[in-house]
Amino acid sequence: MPLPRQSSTGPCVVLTLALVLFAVTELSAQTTLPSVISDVQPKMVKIYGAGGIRGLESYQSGFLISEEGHILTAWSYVLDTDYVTAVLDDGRKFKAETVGADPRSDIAVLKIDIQGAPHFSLPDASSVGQTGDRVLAFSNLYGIAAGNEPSSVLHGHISAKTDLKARKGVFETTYNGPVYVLDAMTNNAGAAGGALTDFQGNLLGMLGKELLNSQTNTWLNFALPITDLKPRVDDILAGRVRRDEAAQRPRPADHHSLQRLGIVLIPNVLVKTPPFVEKIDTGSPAASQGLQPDDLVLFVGPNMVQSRNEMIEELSYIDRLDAVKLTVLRDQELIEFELISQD
Amino acid sequence: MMRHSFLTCSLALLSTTVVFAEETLQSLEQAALRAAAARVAPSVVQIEAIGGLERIGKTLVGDGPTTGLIVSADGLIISSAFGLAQNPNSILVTLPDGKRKPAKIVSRDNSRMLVLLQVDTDVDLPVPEAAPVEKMQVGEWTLALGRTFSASEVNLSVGILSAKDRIWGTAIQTDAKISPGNYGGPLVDIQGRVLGVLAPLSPDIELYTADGKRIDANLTSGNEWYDSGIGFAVPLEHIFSRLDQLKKQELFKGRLGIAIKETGVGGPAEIATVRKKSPAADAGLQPGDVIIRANDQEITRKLQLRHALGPLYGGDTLRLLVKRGAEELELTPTLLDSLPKYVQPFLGILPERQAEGVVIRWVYPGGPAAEAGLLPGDRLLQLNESDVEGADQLRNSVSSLDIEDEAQLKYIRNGSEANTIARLSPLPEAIPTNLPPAKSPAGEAPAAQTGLIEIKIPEEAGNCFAYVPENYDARKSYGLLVYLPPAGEVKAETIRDEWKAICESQDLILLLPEPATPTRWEPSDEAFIRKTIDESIKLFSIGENRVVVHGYQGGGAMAYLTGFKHRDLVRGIVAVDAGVPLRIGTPEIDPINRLAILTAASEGSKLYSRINGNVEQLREIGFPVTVLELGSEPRPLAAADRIEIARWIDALDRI
Repeated sequence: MPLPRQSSTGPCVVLTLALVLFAVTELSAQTTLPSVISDVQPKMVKIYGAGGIRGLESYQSGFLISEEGHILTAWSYVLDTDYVTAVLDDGRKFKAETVGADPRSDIAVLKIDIQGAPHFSLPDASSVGQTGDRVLAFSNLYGIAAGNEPSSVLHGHISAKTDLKARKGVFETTYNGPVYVLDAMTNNAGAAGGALTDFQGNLLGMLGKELLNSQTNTWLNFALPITDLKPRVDDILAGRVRRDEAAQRPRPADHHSLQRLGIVLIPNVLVKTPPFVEKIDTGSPAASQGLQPDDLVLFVGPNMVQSRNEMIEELSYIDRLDAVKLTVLRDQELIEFELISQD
Repeated sequence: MMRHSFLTCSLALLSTTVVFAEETLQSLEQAALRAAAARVAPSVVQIEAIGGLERIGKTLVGDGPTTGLIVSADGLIISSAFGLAQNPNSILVTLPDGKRKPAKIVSRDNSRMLVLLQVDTDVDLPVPEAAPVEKMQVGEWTLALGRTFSASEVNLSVGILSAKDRIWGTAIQTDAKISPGNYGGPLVDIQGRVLGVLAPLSPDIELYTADGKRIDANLTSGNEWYDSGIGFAVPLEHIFSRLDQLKKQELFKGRLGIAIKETGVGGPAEIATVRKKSPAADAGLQPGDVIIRANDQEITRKLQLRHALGPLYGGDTLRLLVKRGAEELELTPTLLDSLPKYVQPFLGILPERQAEGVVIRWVYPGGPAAEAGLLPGDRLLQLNESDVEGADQLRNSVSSLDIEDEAQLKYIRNGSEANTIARLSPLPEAIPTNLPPAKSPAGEAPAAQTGLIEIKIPEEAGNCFAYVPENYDARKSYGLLVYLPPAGEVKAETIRDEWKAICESQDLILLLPEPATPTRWEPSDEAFIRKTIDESIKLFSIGENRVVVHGYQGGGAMAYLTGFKHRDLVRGIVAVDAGVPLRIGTPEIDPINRLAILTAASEGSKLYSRINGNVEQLREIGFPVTVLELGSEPRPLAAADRIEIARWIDALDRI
């Protein structure tokens, strides 16, 4: 960056400074963090409904997504009442009607009677956050804001983009799509339905519910990417009900099993007995490919199997006509086998 | 003309720069963070553990993937012991090229909760650059990387360096979110150099896990701080410097074998006792020596010594400069992984509490003093030719000796001096069957408030009552019995009624703190209990050798937790129908901060076998453990049991 040189900078420095000041004042409305936040706040909604007993909070968060007062929020017990109230950041209070919900993606769309509401435009597929991006999370976590108080803002980064795999019960949630994992304490009571934006205030996602990661036994902070939610929202707004496509892993009618492959595992003595091979039936597919007693099966196809039961379940997803790929550990060496059913 | 256009041009540039300054700064920072992560990412591996335990104590150990960091081109990988705490049947490492490899545990650094793994590799693996600890600055950017959400992409959280020299000089601290999601992964600076390896460390150092395994750090407790803004990493520079050693052997925290005199937090590092057959004894350290330098660190306060010793391993040689009288000596003990078992030696007397010097109140029948012919009323003048100044000093001196050692004693009886020799024995576990009452001073007791008194701790909301017996005499020394009831049964009056008569006859003050959550004790209540004890010591005349925490069932577990945590304060634990909480493990013997344990249980208790296991383990470590059998059917304490317990407390200032 070229800077004026010392010898001739008397008046020049003054002028420069003046210009600098002018520029900052002039443009701060668009670029500074406080201005980004104050632009987002009028789009946020505090939602009150059912709950209030047994530690279930009766409030959550949401945000406006249309001029006519559509609100995107989390699908939860809070909405399970005829009297859902939405409070805007200026303190105006509205009765909210449920337009529709998609319990599988854990979202609901509400509507309040308003015109010309400040709102987020649901972005197209290009609005995607990357790992390491700095983000802002707006929500009414712990119900701290009331009346005309604006939502709480937290800042952090996208830690990871991952899928909430429902398969092994890692997360107890019906939503099993992609999420942004965040490094801020965003997902506390009342935060569900809040907005995740980038540092320019562009909508990136909706904050999810409180969720325990059973894999690491820790609470997870995350948001659902708005690009994945948009088709669902569009469906709700259009009154379309989507089928639960691919909610369940398809299990072929005629599938593989240990018996068919000729594998006998050691008996189930623990909650998670590892899939050690006890015996291989002579003449079986496993025998012909060379599996041996004491082999430890680690993967069925691409999926890790931690226990005997998981291996049995994995095999049940593979059509009998397809080959079964097993990765086993034998004397500290990984060996792959491809087994084909004979009958 | 030239000058003019230059000026215009630079002005234009400047204003543009400023216009976008904030955005640019943000995007530059973001780009720098990404670049830093990308530089280290190839050295960050995913580790999957298969099989093994799912629970360590009460902590559910996730069997999800954990993270490791490549530390040598030929396949050495360092990780946190946390992710591998379940003793997996097998371990798989996914290398940066996506290849899964079986891995073996090569070694462990027990003092820092690290595990060293080895995978076979045909190609050289990328080893990250370590940032020098010297150059690290508190406040600099830190990125915590893990590879747990996906094997193909690292997850990251961002923060700053919060502190250096934490956990007794073994770790650096960050406010980035540290959790099982990145334990074992690197903490990275903005230049993409590795500051340290993330691990759930805790300043509480423990010796044994619940299943009896020797460790130096708490296996799971550091994890309670996950995502809290407090996270720790072991400097990679340190790991590199010890890698060759670690490859060859497991590393433990180095032990010296001294106890430092209790002189308040700011006191000098004056040695109170030297453990026999310890590195300190072999190097010639003596009680009374003041340590003034350890390696290159000047020591003026005793905590500095703890910091200087904290990072050292067994096998390390320590250069000490000590002051002995007017002399300064340089001594070089070589630390050990563990010290020979220490058993507290015992002379076999109870001292009078009101006396000048040490006058014998009672002689243990059949004990060393009895064998040596000592009698109640004898005043001890010298032990091994050193003057006896008072009971505490004599107790410490005896602690420096060994059982079976001969103690030469000079004493005075009926005005004439005499000498004898006592052969020391271990501290007894049996409760004396009968004790003479402690002497009362002559004259009227000064006026004092008695009965149930509310103890208020200014910054705490919790309730606490003390029961001060009606015959309280502030000139006497009282035992403090802290009673922790089982969950949901807090009624100060009931407990007072049970103990009232005993408090009066046995010089006891009863302290009744209540849990923050009325229904149960939480581990965090320990801090409140401590404050109530501190306050009681200020308010009443408490003999500090007779502070005892006593609990029934859940309160008993809490008594263990409190007693183990506050060794400087608690001298006895009485646990009724309660085991040592699985999560906390058991501490070391400390010759100065003595701790005796009394357990009471019935055969019908669900915990009976676990309690027996605890007793065995505590005795193995060297604690004196008194067992009170409560018969076959589970029951709470009866009046007769309370009298026994009171007598046990009365004898805790034994020497």
